[in-house]
Amino acid sequence: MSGFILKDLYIMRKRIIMNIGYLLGMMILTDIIAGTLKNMAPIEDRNVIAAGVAIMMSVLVFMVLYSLECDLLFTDERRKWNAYSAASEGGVRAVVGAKYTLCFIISFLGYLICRFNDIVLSLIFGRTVQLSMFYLGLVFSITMLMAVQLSFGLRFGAKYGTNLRIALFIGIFVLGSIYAMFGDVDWLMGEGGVRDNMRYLLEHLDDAGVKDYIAKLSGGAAAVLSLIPHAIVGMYWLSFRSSCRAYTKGAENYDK
Amino acid sequence: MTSKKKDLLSIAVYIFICFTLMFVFGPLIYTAEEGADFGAYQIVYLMAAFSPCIACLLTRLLFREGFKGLLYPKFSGNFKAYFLAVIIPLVFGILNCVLITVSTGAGFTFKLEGGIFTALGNNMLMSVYAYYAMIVIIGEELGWRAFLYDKLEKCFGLNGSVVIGGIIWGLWHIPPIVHMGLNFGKDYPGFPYVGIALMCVMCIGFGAFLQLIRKMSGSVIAPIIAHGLIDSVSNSLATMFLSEEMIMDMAGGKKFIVGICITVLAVIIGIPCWVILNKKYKKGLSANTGAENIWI
Repeated sequence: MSGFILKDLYIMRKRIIMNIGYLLGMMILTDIIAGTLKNMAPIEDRNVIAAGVAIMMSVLVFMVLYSLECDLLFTDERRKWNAYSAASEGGVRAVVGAKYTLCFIISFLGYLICRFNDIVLSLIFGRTVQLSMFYLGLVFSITMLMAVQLSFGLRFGAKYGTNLRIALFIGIFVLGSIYAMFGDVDWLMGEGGVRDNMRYLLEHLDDAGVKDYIAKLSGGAAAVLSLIPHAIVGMYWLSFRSSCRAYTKGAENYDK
Repeated sequence: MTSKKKDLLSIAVYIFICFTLMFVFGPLIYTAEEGADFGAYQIVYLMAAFSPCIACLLTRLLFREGFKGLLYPKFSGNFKAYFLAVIIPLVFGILNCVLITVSTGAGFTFKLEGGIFTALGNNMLMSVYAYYAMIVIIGEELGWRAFLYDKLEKCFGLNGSVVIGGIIWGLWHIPPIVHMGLNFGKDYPGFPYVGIALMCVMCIGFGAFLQLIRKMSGSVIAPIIAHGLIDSVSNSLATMFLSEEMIMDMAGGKKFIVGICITVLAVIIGIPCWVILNKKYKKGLSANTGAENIWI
């Protein structure tokens, strides 16, 4: 399997280097801006600035790395390669497993970049900036998206997977907009609703703040909330298993 | 230089780097007041917590051993090892819960506000926190299981690796034991020497278990999962029946009782693992699970 991982890394090496270089450049830029803002802002606002910069950077990091993960599907869409790789040592499990492992490695790399940014911000602001639980949330979100996209992409082709992603985002946006206009949004915008909770989280978005917030949740809500990451891990595993079964069939949809 | 001499030298270099980092940076973290907040806190913390990993990487670099396959997972055909990596910490947590509840006289009643649902919710949340704990634990396991225990086994045999490795691992915890009363508090007779000795015993027990699943899976990922769960879910399960006041009181004299309970259970879990280790892996390293294979 490590051979397939290295193969994908080799094919995508330029993109990976360019993207990581871009992210590091953006990190330096945003941290310089944050350092300038810190000197201009009153002391009580500095926490919010630090958290804001860290969140902005982390969203950028995970967006860029997510697009990189999506491109993994395009690296070997050829029927002959598909047949050859499936017949090699390790078989389909190794080929498909390499894709899933590499996606996880890229997400983990995103986590590490964000944590590195936290350390730089901590040195700039002279206080601990640590949003690791938030970054883990982003890792799980991308893992969930990739679980869907990889299985559909490997079965029906990368183009189909991309179209599915776009359709999924548009569908969620349209349905969400319709619900926001005509549905009951009291639970969302009302007192003690999601909006209030989000505001609280943004104001206390360090690990201690997240833990305090979680401690205030009722037992049932906490249990349901904590099931989500485990469900995503299970979903990723199931997606891998289904992709293994569908991999050879997927070749029928390739252009070449 | 013979292979054994080279291994002994690499162990000495590893211990020197690991302990220097821990004993220089550890006290800065553990003597800081609660809620201490300074810019370099994270760097100092990472240097201390990741000292085994840093030492492993530097030693491998110095001795030109390479880094291939350091974190390579071997899931296929090793379900049993990963299953044990999850289930034994949970069993440990439940047994610990019974032992602590009995020894502190807390009684088996959910004392948290909200009763059983809040207690269950808290434990479920700690299972999420385990993912974060596993990332931090990489810093330890890469050093202990993926380097030290293997080298010790080559030089002193399997039993020697479990005992000596456990003692070294326990001694590495001296800064948090002395400065923040890790696991045993500070209010007990013979502080801190008794705590350090008990920590070594605990590490021998846990070391046997973690080394067993490391050998079963042929990868360091299984011990990382188990260690992460022990540090998060097991601790949370252990205090399930305790009231918040009692949990706060743990910082005082009762923490020593809790520490003793953890040590006793670590030994209870460690002994069968040690026996299995001896039965299965004493006569050389098997092709699939041996320490040599981990670097391929």
